[in-house]
Amino acid sequence: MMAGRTFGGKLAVGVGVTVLFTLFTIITSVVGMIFVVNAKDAAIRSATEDLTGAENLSRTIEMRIAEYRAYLLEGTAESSRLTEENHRLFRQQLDDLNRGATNASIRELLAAIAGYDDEHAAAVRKMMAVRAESADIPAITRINNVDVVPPRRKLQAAITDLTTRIREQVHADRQASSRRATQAIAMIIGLGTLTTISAVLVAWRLSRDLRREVGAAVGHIQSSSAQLEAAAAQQVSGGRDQASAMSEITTTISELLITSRQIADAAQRVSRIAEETEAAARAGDSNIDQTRASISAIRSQVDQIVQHMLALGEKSQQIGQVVDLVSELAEQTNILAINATIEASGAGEWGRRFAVVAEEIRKLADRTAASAKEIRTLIDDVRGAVNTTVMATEIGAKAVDTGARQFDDATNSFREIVQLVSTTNDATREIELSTKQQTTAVEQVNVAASDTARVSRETESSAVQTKQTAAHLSTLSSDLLELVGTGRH
Amino acid sequence: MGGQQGGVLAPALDAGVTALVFRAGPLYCALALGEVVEIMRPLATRPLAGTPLYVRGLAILRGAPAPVIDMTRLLTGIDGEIDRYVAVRAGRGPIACATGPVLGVREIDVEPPEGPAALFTGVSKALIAAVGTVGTEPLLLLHSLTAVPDEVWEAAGGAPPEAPS
Repeated sequence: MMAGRTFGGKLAVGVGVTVLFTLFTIITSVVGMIFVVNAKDAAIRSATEDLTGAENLSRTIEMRIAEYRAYLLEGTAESSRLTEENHRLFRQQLDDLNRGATNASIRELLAAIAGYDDEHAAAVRKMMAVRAESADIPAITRINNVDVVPPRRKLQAAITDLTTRIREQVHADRQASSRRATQAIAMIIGLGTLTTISAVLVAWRLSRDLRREVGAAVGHIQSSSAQLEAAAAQQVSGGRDQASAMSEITTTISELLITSRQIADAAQRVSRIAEETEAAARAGDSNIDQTRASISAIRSQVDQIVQHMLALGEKSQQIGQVVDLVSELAEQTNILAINATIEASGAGEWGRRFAVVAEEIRKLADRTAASAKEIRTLIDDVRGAVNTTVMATEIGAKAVDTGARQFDDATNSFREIVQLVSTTNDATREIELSTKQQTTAVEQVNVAASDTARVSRETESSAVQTKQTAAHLSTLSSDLLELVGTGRH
Repeated sequence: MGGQQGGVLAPALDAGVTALVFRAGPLYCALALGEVVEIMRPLATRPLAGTPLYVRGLAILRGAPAPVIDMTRLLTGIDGEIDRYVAVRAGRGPIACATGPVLGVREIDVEPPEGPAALFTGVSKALIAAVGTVGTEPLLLLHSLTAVPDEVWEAAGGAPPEAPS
């Protein structure tokens, strides 16, 4: 029945069983006492009421006898009235006894007393009537001796017998009540013994279970306390490390806060510079249009230069052709002059003169050829320069075209840059705002980290208290094991 | 120059000689004016097989084939720029001397090949009649050209010239 119950349940069951036994014992004792009290009450009542009633009957009949004797002596109405009143009191007491009588013999005896009283009362009335008529003592004495004394004696004897009977009844009731009291005492003793045994068994069982289960539980508590103490020690160490780490984190966050503020300032400056850049870029946009117009003008000028240079090259080529012709003529003249000199060398004096003229012609031809050569060289230089200039100009034109395209690309890039600068400006503003928010967040984190560091220190102190509590709990567990009788040392 | 038919320069060696001065590669050369027929631009020349390297070939000179002598190669052994053909009288007919630029007819002062010039031997000695100067450059006065091999004349359709004395 006790298996599977907790110790509290077992304790409750044990205490409940003990309480039930105790209650049963108490109830039984109360019932027994009630029976005993009732028996004693009955005995006392019979001893008091019945016996007193019987005694009162005797006393009342004596008073009645004394009153009607007084009437016989004095003949007063008072004595007659008292006699009649005592007679009525006697009958009332007799009726009371008859109502409370439980014994048949007593009832029969009471009935006999009532008969004897009726007879006695009739004799007394007769005698008192005689006394009222005359004071004839001898007649009265005779009536008394003949009519009154015998029933009076029977009545007194019956009353005495009733008293005896009631005494016997009282004695019997007293004995009966004593027996019931003895039985109640015996039953109470038996129930008390049973309750004691039950209490002892419950106590033994609870003590055994207490030693077994509570001892095991306390052992677990002790081991758990040791583990808790170790864990608290680790928690103390961890809390200390955590507090140290949080302190470092707080320091780092403070540095981070300073850095964040610097970043916020830098972001603000960058935002301002970005705005200035955007304004400068928008101002540069108009310069780009002017520059594009200038590039177009340069391109037109370059085209004109190319055309002029090509025309110059063509003229130079024509000049070169003329110079070639002159050079050819000079060479031919040179050859003719030399040949004329050769021919003139065999023609005597006239030939000598002719040779002089021919030599002069040759010299002129040589000078012409030299000049033509120089001109040719110059023309070649001019043509080369023109070609170089044309090529350079064409290259320049191409460079201008390329530059124009690149400038268009640069313009597009510049406009993209302007747009990007605008976007960058927006982003920079967002960065500035985010950095400020970040700074605020870092400040909050700093506060939170400080709180956390404080909580870590409190945790460390709590862990120390936990450790001390665990050690105290371990000590208490040992003491409790000692108390439950399973202590180990 | 006048009256010097036959190209005889010897009597006038000690005095000035009128000669046609031209360049043959790095050299200044001169031919006695009496040996020169005319000068002309280089003509179309057909090469000849089996001839010395200084013979450039045959050219039509005044309607007749004439051998062309590369004077630069003949005198220096190297190739030079050909600027003029100088027609000279040789034994079997005119020949064309391929030369550099013709400087003109000059009165030159030359001396016989004595002194340092006496060291000329072989072909050089047969070609060089006298030595002079043009400014700071040496000037070689050439003999009448007899250096054209017979097979060249044969290829040109004429008899080989007599050996000069």
